[in-house]
Amino acid sequence: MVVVENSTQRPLPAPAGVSAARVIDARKVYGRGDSAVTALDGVNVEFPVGEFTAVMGPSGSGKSTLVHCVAGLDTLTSGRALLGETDLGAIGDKALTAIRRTRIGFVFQAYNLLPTLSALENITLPADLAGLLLSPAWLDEVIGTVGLRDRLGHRPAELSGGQQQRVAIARALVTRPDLVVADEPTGNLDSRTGQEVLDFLGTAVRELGLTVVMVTHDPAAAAHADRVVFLADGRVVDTMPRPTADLVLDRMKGLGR
Amino acid sequence: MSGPMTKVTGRSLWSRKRRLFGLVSAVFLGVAFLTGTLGLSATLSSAIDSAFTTAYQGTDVIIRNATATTTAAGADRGPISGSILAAVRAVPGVADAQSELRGNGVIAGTNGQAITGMGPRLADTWITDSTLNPWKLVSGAPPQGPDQVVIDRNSATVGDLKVGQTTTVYLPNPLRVTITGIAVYGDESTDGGSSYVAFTLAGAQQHLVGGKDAVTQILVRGEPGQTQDGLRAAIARVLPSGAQAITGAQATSEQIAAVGSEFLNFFKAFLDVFAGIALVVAMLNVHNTFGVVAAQRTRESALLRALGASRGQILRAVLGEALVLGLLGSIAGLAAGYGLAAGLKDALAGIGLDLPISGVVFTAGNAVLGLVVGLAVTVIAALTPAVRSSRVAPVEALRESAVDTAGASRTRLGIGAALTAVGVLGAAGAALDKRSATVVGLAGFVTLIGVLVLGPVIATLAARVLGAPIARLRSVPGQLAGRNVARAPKRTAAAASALIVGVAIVTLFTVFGASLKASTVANLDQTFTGDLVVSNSGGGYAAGGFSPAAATAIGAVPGVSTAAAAGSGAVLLDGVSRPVTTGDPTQLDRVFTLGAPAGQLSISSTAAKANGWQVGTIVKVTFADGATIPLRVGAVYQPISPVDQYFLPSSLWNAHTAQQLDTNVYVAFAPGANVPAATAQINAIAKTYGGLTVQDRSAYLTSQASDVDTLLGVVYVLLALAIVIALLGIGNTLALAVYERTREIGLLRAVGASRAHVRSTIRWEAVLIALLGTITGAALGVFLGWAVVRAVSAAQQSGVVSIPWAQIAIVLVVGALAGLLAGARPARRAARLDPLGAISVS
Repeated sequence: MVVVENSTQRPLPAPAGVSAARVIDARKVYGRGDSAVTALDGVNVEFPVGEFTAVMGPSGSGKSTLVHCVAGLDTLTSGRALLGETDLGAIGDKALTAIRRTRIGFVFQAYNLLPTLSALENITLPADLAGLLLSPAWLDEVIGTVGLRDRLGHRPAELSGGQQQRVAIARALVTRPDLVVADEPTGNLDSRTGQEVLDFLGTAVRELGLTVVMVTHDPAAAAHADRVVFLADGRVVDTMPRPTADLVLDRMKGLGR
Repeated sequence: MSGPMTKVTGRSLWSRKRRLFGLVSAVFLGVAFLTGTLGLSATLSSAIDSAFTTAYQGTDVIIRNATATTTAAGADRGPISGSILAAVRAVPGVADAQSELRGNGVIAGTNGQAITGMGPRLADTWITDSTLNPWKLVSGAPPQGPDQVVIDRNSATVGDLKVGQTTTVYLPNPLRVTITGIAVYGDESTDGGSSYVAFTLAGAQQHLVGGKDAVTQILVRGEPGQTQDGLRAAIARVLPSGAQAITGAQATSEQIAAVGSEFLNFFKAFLDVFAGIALVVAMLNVHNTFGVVAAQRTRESALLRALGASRGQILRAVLGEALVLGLLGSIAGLAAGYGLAAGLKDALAGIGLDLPISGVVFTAGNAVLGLVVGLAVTVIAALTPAVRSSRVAPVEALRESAVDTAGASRTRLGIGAALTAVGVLGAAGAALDKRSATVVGLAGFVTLIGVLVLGPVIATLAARVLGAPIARLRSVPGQLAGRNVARAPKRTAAAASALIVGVAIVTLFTVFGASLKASTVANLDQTFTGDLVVSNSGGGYAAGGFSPAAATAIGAVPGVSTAAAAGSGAVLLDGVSRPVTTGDPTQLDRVFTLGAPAGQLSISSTAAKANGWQVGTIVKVTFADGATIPLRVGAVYQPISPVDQYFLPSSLWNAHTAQQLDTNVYVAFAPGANVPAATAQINAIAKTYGGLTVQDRSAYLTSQASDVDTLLGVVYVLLALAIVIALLGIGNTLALAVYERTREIGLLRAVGASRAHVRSTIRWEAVLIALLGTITGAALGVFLGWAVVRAVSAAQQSGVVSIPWAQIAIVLVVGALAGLLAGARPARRAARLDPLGAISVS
C-alpha cells in the first residue's frame, strides 16, 4: 500500500521550467461533416510545474475543452496531451482512471461533492478509491488548510456553497496530484465568497507547491493566477504573466468579448 | 387538455425514453402478473364447468340412490335396482332412458403398467343413446360382448393402446378385455384427469357387481316439449323409496358446487389471492417508479411553472402521461399475461397438475379488468407525485433536483409500530393458546401491513446494519451503496416491499410444509410398526384401489407375518358425511397402535373431541346403499396419519359396498424372515395387480410426506413469479436511480472511480435492497409459519414445528444473488456513462 506522506517528507517538486502538463498541436473537432465544430484548432500550451495558470476566453473559445483534454476527461482529435511524460491519448480507460484519482485533482463549478458522503469522506474519496492510506499528519495538514475542522462530519447539503467548494479543493489536493484542474470553481458563488475560495486555492497550491490550471471568465479570478492564457476560436491568442484584474479585463475587451 | 400542454406531455414522454421504459415496464409487469393468474384461474373454472356441463348436456332427468354418504365431486352414490328402468320408460314424455353402472377400473397399458392419474379410474357403461352419452367415439365401435370395451383417448395415447388390441383392466381383479373403440369427452381426450373404460351394461354388471341387476344411475331423455322439472316430477312418482330423481341442470350445478369444496377450487381461490398479491406488488412498483420520476422532473415542472403554466396544467400533463403509459403498459401486460398463463399451465403440468383443457381461457372480463386495473393503478400511483409536482414553486427550477429523502415520519413510526405490535402479539398469543388459525391469519396480515408501514425505518436500520460490514472492508463502492440505500428510505422500502411480501409467504409455506412433513413422519414413525407397504400406484385423488386378493397373496408369502389390508370410503355418521378407513382390525392392530374392536365403530381422539363422543356412544351409520345401522363406539385411538379419523371393520363395510377395494397393504415380516426373498415375491405379486407400489418402511415414511411437496411445488411456482417481478421492480427502481444520479456518477468517475467501482456500487445497492427484502420477509415468514403451525396443531394434535433453516438460508442466498442479477442492467449502464458527458448533464 502506498502511503502519501506529509509535506516535509515529500520528494521535492521537479525543477522549475519543467512542464507538469502540455498540449502539442491539439485539435478537437466535435461532430462530423457540415455540423462539425472545431473547439481546439492547433493549440500548443505548457503548464510549468508549480505555476498557477488561468485559461480565459469568450464563450466557445475552447477553454473548457482544453482543460478537459489536459485532465484526461476528453480525448483530442489529433495532437498530443501529456501529463508529465504520459501521453493521455495513448492509454486506455483503466490507466486514465488511475491517473484521475492519483495524479489529477478536479474542482468543478458545482456538484463537486457526493451528497451521501460527509465532508471528510468526500475529501478522502480519491485516496479511498485508489486504496491509498493517507498519513494522518498529511490529512490533518490539508484539513487545517481548508479550515473546516468543525464541519468535517457534515453532509454537503449542510454546508454553504463556499464551504462546499473548499471541501472540493481539499479533495483535489489530498492525493498531491501533478495537476489540479479547476473549471470555473467560483462560477456559482457570490463575488465575496468567490474571492475567499480563490485566496484559499492560491495559498494552498503555493504552500504545497502544486500546479494549477483554472478556467474562468472572471478577470478578478484570473488575477489570482501567475499567468493567464487567452483563447479565442480554438487558438491561443495571448499570454499574460503576473495579471491584474484591470489588465485582464482590457485584454478580454480586445478579444471582442 | 389544452393544446400546448398536450404537446409538452407528448414531447416529455418521447424525450425521456429511459424513464418511459421504466414506467411502462412497471405497469407491464403488474398487469402481466395479474392477468396471468386471472387467466389461469379462468382456465381452471372453464375446465371445471365444461367437464360437468358436458356430463349431463343431453340428459333431462337422472335417477339415483337417495342416500349420499359424501358430497365429493365425481364420487358416485350406492347402486339402485335396475328394475326401475322399465317403470321409468313407461312414464309419458320419456323419449329414452338408459341404465349406467359405474365403478372403479384401472386400465393397463401395452407395457402392462396400470395407467394412473389425478382423476378417478372409471369403469363405466357404454350408453347407446348418443344424446345421453357425453362420450363420443372417435374410432372403432361400441362394445358388444361382456369383455369388449371402449376407452378414453388419453388412456389410449398414454398406454399406447389401439382398437382391436387386448389389454388388462383391474376391476379390481384383472380381466382381459378387447378394445373395440376409443372415445373423447366433449372436445377433450378425457373427462378431467380421469381414465374411462366402458363395457356393455351386462358386462359392467357381470364384472363390477357379480351379475346383479344393479345400476348407479338411470339417464332419461325427454320428448321434445317436455320441461326437465315436469319430467322429473312425473318420474319421481313411479320411483321406489330409496331412489330419487333430479334434473340434468340440478345434477350439473351439484357437481360444480361439489368441486367448489375440493382441491381445484381451493387452488382457484389460491390463484385469486395471488392475483391480489400481484395487484399489490404492481401498485407498489408503479407508485415507486412514479415517485422516482416525479422527483426527477421537479425542475422540469418548475421551469414550466416559471414559464406560466398553471398548476392544473402541470397536473393534467402528469396525469396525461400516466394515462398514456398506463395504457401502453396494460396492453403489453395483457399480451404477456396470456403467455404467462400458458407458461404457468405448463409449469403446473410439469409438477403433475395437468388442467383438463387445451389452451388458455382469456375472458373479456379479465382483459377489461386488467386494463382498468392497470390504468387505475397507474393514475392513482401518479397522483401523489403529480400533486407534488404541481406544487413545485418556480424557484425550484434553480435548485438541484430534489429527491424525496424524507425518512419515516413520527406518525408512520407510531402507526407501523402499533400495527406490528398488535399483529405479533395477536399471532403469538393465538399460537401459544393454540387458538384458531383464522386468528393467526388475521394477526399475520396485520403484522405484514405493520412491517410494510415500518418499511422506511427498517430500511434505514438495515442500511446501517448490513452496510457496516461492507464499509469496514474499506470498500468505497460498498460504503456508497450503503449510503445510497439509506438516503431515500421510503423509496428503498417501497422497492423492497414487494420482495418482503413474496419472501414472507414463501417462508411461511416452507415452514408450514416442513412442519407438516415432520409431524406426519413423526406420527407414522411412532404409530406404524410394519416393515413394508404396498399401495396404489399414483395414489392421489380418487385413484380407486386394488383387489383384496392382493393382500391374501402377500399374506401367503413365506416370511410375512402380517399383511393387513386397508381401504377407504365414506359413510354418514349421525347424518354427517365422514371419511372412513376400513380393514381387518386384528390384522391392522399388528402394524398400528389402533386397538379397534370387531363389529364396532372406532374413532380418533380428535374425532371424539370434535363430536363429543366416547367409548360406548351409539352412532347411526348410513352406508352408500342406503342402509342405516346403529353402531357402538368401541375404541378411541390416538391419531394415525394413514388412518382416517373414523375406522370401520371391513366386515361391516363390505356388506354394503358393491365393489370392494383396498388402498394399502401393510406388511410385517416374521423374525428371522428372508426379507430380500420375501420382498422379491411381494414385488412380483404387486406387478400382477397392475404395478402396485412397494415401499420399505423408510421409503414409505418419506413418501407420506411427499404430497406436501407437490402442494408446495404449486405454491413455489407462483411465488417464484411474484419474486421475479419484485426483483424486476428493484432493477427498475435502480435503473431510474442511476438516471437520476447521472451527474453524481460522472463526478465519481472524474475523481478516479473506475467502471468497476461504479458497477459494484450499483450492484451492492441491489444486493442490499434484495437482502433487506429477503431477510425481513424471511423473519416475518418464520414467525408466521411458527404461529400457523402452532394454531393448526390444535386440530391435528401433532404439532411438530420444524423450521428448515437450510432452505431459508438458500432463500436468502438466492435473494441476494437475484438482487445482483436485478442490479446488473442498471450497473452496466452506470459504468458505461462517459464521465464528462455525465457531469455536464443539466
